Amino acid sequence: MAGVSASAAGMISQLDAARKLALADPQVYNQVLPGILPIIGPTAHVDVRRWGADFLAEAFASPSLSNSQKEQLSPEVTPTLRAMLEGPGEDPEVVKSVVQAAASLYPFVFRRIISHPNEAALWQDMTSIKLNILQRMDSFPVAIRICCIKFAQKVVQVETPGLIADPRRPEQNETSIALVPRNHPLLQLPNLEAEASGLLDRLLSVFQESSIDPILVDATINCLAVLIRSRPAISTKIVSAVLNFNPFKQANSPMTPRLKVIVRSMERTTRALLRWVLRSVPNPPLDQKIQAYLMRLQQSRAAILSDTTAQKRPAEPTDGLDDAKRQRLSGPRKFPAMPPPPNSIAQLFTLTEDPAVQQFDVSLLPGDLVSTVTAVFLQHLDSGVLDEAVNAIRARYSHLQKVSRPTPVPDVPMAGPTGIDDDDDYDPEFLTSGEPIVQATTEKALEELAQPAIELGPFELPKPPPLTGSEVAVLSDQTVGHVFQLVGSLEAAGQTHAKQKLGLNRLAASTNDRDSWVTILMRLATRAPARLDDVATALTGDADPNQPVKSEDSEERNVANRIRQTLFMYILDDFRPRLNIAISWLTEEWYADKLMAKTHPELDHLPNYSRWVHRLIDRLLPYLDARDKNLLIRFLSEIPSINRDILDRVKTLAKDPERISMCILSMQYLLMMRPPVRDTVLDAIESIWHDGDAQAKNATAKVLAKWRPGFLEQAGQPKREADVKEETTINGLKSPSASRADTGDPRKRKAKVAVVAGDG
Amino acid sequence: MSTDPRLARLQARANTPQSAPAKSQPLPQPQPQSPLQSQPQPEPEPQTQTQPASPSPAPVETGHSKLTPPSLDGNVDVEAPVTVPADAVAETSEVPFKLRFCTVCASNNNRSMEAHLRLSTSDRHYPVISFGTGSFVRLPGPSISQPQVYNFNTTSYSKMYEELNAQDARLYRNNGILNMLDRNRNIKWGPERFHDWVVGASRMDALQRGDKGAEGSEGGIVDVIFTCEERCWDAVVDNLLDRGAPLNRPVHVFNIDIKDNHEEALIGGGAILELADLLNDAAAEERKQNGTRGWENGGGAARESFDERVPDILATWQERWPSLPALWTLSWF
Repeated sequence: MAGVSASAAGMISQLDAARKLALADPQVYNQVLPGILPIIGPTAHVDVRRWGADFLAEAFASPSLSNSQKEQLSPEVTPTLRAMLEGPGEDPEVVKSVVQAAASLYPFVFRRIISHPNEAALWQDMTSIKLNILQRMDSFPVAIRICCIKFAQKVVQVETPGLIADPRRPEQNETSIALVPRNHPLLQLPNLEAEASGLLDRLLSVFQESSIDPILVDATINCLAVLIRSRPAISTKIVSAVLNFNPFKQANSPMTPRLKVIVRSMERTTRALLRWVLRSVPNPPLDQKIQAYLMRLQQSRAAILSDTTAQKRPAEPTDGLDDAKRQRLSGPRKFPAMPPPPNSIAQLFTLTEDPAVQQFDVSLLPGDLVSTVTAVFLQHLDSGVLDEAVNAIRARYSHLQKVSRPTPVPDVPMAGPTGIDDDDDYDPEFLTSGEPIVQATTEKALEELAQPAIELGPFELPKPPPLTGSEVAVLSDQTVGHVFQLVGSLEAAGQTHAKQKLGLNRLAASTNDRDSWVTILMRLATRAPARLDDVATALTGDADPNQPVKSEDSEERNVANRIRQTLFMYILDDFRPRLNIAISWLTEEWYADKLMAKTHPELDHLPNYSRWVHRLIDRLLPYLDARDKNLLIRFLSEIPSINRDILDRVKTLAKDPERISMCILSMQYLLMMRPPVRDTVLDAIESIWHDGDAQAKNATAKVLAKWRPGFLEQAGQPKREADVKEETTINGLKSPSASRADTGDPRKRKAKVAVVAGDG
Repeated sequence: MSTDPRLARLQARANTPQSAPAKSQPLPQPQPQSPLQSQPQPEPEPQTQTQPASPSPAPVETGHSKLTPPSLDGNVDVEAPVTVPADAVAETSEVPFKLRFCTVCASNNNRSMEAHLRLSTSDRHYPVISFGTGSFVRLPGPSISQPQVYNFNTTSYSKMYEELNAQDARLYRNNGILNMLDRNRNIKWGPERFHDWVVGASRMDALQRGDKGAEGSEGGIVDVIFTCEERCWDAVVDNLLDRGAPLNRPVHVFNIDIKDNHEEALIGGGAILELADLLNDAAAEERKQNGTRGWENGGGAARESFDERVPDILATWQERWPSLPALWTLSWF
């Protein structure tokens, strides 16, 4: 046995090599086939026979080998096939392949006999094969039986009249008895037709059998398509037989997993064939029957398999309802948009896109059937699905009510033709010959899209009417007010935060706090309009800095001044904490004025700075009380410029006995810390001394005695001695006579003081 | 490999079950230059035919058998008379029978190719071919509305890889496309469309290129088709009806519903391999029984054939994989 196996293995390897040559070049079959036929005969090893039978089946199925070649090879092969088939106890695998090969071979032999009526032996062999197969068909194992079914189908196909595509070129025509001449010696037409009819009945009997074998059913259904398409004479009979088949016949017994597989398989296979028939072989009277059958199939399936499918895949509850497409698992169900108006009531209620279902006329069914079906259907219907559908109809209806013009915009945009999901090009309805339907759908969608809804030209807003001066004023006030509201809202935050001192590195207005916004406002007021109207104002209207501050009404009401005014009021609202804002603002004003003075040297004064510092002091001073001395000192020391006018205003504090000390202290501070204004300050103190009462004289005398030593002597004040004495004790100055002599020249005085101080 | 850890994990998972094939992966590369050595892959050990599916062969085993072929090959080689090397055909009476498979998804890129890889590189090295049923190969692009679209049959995986790599390597690496294409181009040349498949036409070019699973499928016919989605199953069954079954060859068409993402494709590929093993075991067992006993005492009709057992096998399998709804029919080429 081992030796046999080894030689068989060796033989098969050779045979395989030959097979590969033939696969690579179909012409090789002509040499290979005759060569191997003796090797694979009934006496060969089982593996070799299996290989050989399979090779024959493959060769005669191969599309590479031309039909004429197959026809030529058929006389050589047929006896071998017959011998293999008739060998006693032949291996089922071999038989299976032989039956397959015979099915392929039969048309070629038949064709050859038509043109070669003298080859009776060949026909004899083929007839024996046919009889052998058909006789043993029912006793074969299932694996062979399905091949016998296919063989029978092929015989039916050949022995039923086919279409003569072109009578002038018989080689182009499909092999069938339509090609057989009436007086053919071997092929008797009536016999053949009768045989075909009987075989067809036998084929279709599988649908009526009580014990259904799914694999036989599937095998039969799947081989009927070509008969339905190419043999019109029997197509109705076949379809009717299929329509009488109930895939759910076995489903009344308990559903085992195996039964589920079987029922599902037969149901889907039946449906696949019928849908294929609907599309490929249109036949209106039959089509309606088919559609009704498909409906019934769906309902039965929903009833029988719904629970099981729900268990398997709860995310896909509509599995039993929609047979065309796999439902999307996420999101609500989408219904197709209605076609453009005017719509019929049927269109309003049509939620499916399946053209087959759309064309189905329910009125064809008897009323009692409809009511039964509806009742059953409603019982098994998912209420959520029904609600969705009802809502969809409702939405459509309200949409129809709203639409007064015939310019529908598609509610549901076309599913992206480029979706990754590839759903677009999947529709079994349209895969091959559904072109008209595809066009209809596409055209409909395109129409909807292309419908010019509204003619939209370029639209321009009309230009707003020019604002009047007062409107501008109101608007600018509002704008500035908004910003100040912002500043106000940020105030708390700005104060509570212990801010990091960045010194010179800081950037103005880089953070969203009060200081930043105030800085922005200040600079908007001071710098933005610089060199525009301010110059003109400064040159003409406000030329005299010493002039009392003009009233607000006389001032030009530009945005800058609005901001200044608002800022001014803002500071005065609560001047104690906001004094630093005042100082910053005035510094900005001063800087802007200085910059302007560079380009306009004729402006020897600081128009904005002077105006607003005067105004601020005027309004500030009445509110200062004795405790605010530090405030005043700070203000006077930090504002960028001090002149006589400012001091004149400060001086008025001296008239108030409670605040004179504050006044004097602030001036003393200036004397010490701001040497450039020392003389001006001393002059102011002098004037206080002159104008003031005894308390004022007393308070100023000390200062004057220290900073302007000769003054008191000149004025001949009785308190001179005391002053000098006190001054000496305090400052250690011991040259009152020398200083007295220098009173005329302030610079010399100053120098003297410095020298003395340095000596001391 | 991608820097994305998820993809790295995927890659690792894709390769781990068949570490031996992963090792031999570079081997098919030089073959296009030497078509005469087109079948270097050794036959699996003969005893595997009766073994249950064990997806983890020892990696050394395959490499070893490659270097020192089993002695069975010796007498075969001596007797080989033709130029086409026959060393691949280590057939004896114990020859491992292998069903031929076909995997089908929409674009012949993710699910069908994962299954193609698993089937062709399992320890049984099944003959596998694969197809897509879409009208075009569609891959995710920069956005949902801008997919990358390629033609079937004329675009190679390598070309897609190069193009997408040049376009936006980061994007396509992160969404796993480059990784997938890189895997695919090591399996076969390019995506093929089911509808354009000439059943029965020889696929010697694939064999000579060294495509994975080409060995044994050179006849252009398969015994089993696995689709990965119901609409693909519908398309395949419908297309077979349309072809009119001219070849008279039966084919089992299964659908295993697999979601179209990398993770599910991996899981589904494993499930398909398991079903394939079950089917193959049944078929091989049938052949063996027929071969030994049937030789003398005739084909016992009482014995259940492989085809008959398919519903049972599928039901058993479905119990184990309830999350992958399956469907089956027997159709014809």
